[in-house]
Amino acid sequence: MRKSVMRKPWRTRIADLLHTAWIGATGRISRTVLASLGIALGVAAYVALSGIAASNQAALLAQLDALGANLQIVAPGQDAAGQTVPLPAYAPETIARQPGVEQVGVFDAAPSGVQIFKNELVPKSNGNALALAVMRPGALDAIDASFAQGHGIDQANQHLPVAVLGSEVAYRLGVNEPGDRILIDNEWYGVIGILNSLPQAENLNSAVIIGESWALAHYPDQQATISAISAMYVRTKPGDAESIRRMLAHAANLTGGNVSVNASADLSKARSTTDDSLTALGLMIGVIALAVGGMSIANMMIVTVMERRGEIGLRRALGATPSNIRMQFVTEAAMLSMFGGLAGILIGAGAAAGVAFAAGQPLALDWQALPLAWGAAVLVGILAGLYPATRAARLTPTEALRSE
Amino acid sequence: MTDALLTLENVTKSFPGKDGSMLEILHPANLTIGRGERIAIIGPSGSGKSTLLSMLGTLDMPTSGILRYDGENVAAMGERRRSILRAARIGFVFQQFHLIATVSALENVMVGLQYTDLPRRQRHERAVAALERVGLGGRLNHRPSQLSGGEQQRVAIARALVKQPDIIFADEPTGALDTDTGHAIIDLLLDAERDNASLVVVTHDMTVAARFPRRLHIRDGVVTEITGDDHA
Repeated sequence: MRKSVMRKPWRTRIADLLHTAWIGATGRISRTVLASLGIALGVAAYVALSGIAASNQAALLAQLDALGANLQIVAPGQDAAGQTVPLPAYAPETIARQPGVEQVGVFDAAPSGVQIFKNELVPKSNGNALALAVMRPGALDAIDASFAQGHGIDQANQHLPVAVLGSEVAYRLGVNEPGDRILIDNEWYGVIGILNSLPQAENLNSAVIIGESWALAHYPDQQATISAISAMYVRTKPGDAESIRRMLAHAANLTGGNVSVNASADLSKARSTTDDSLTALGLMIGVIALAVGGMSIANMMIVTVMERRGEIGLRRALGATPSNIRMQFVTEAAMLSMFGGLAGILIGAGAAAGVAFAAGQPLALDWQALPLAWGAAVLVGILAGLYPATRAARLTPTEALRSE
Repeated sequence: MTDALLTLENVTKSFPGKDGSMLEILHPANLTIGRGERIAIIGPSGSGKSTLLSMLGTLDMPTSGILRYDGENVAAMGERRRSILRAARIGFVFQQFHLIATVSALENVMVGLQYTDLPRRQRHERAVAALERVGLGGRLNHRPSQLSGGEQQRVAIARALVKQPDIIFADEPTGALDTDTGHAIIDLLLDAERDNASLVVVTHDMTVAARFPRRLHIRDGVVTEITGDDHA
């Protein structure tokens, strides 16, 4: 006598379950597509909006890096008594030697008591908070400054009374083009260049820049002041900035004197505070659409169970237990939401890619969120399938078989 | 009585009527079905044939009395063990075929073994053999809608035969078919004797019933044995 039990290996059981669910789900393909559409839209909304947010963020970060996330300002620090500790003269060289450092731009301390005016007609009491900066050769290159008009101070003109204006200075003095003259410390200087706005070095926007050679020659009594370094702009390889900050401080003053090292713009904060509102919106739309999608799956499964009472009766007669029937319909519902979730990810990623392409941004997706969104969709499907499946499991074989 | 497969001991079945009182559809019945026995149950519609068949097939439980399968009280088995019993040892054939419309004949037959412990490959081999046995070896991949009524019923018989059951229950298997096709179907069912399977067929067609050595008659819930062939 054969004694048979329903003890199949797990793999076989799962294969049977998936196969049966597949048959059920693909039997009426148009209905399956419609029922899983809600889930697809929910997942797509989330994936698309979080992807667009991520692309925005990637674009923003790329822009920040270009501006000066990798630009550090090394300046004299203060000792315990609040006295400024001057940077040693060798600092630019030692810093330039450090790995990861690409360029060093040096500004000297400006001669004291200098006032800047558009011309001699402006009352001397009407100072306008413009600063004078003294640059060593190549300093503007290190900052990656660009000229709106004109050019910089070079070997050909470094011994002449010429000046480069920051964007804000040009505006306040009303200087529109190179060739104008301005009055610095009662001396006429020719304007040879006007800089574009420098978000990476904002204090230079309101500074008039003159060359070191001219300054040293013109203020022989202040040579000591002028030779002291007021600030060094150190451009490093992208991404290395944080790790070499400490090294810069040491290289700038080997004897251990206090040195101030700052990121030129406070971009590290900007990096972490990116726009989360789009992601939140996507999450909200996604959750609502998933809920609606779950209901449409539940609704379809109830209809399916009613329509397939004959099949349920048959399967019970063939030896399916109530829990076999329940699992079959829950798996079928889960499969619907799996299809929906996959379609949603594809649609959402496609939409995010389209938007990123149209905006000229790099495509970025929230990769960790994709499996989570998909898992949430499948979970919704399982929950939606529970009630119809339980109804199906509760049918007695004779009830189910009677109704055709 | 050592070869008794199924026994009914004073089994009744009642259903709640419209006014809430219980309606006894099947009056106390005593019956023994032996191994390899071939039985036709005949009677007018509404006489309780299908109710009796459902209980014999363990699809429904008696209101009172004891149904034994292989000596064991079926009511005491519990839903799960009854399902296992049906999966492994009982075959069913229905008037409306009950094939799954969206899959092939082969898949339909394989469903007959889905709830057993057989691995998929073996189920496949057995299903092919069963379809060949009912003469549908060339139509394995046809869907039910591509088959005639007689062919669909043959798929259903293959689905019952494939598990090599102890017993096959057929509820009006020829009811939806013309006479010739119906007799061909009965031929196939009677052929199950090869496997020493018992066969219980419910029918209202006397020419079909006449082909069975043992016939039971039901009228108004009372089961009577008809002996001999003279009533056919």
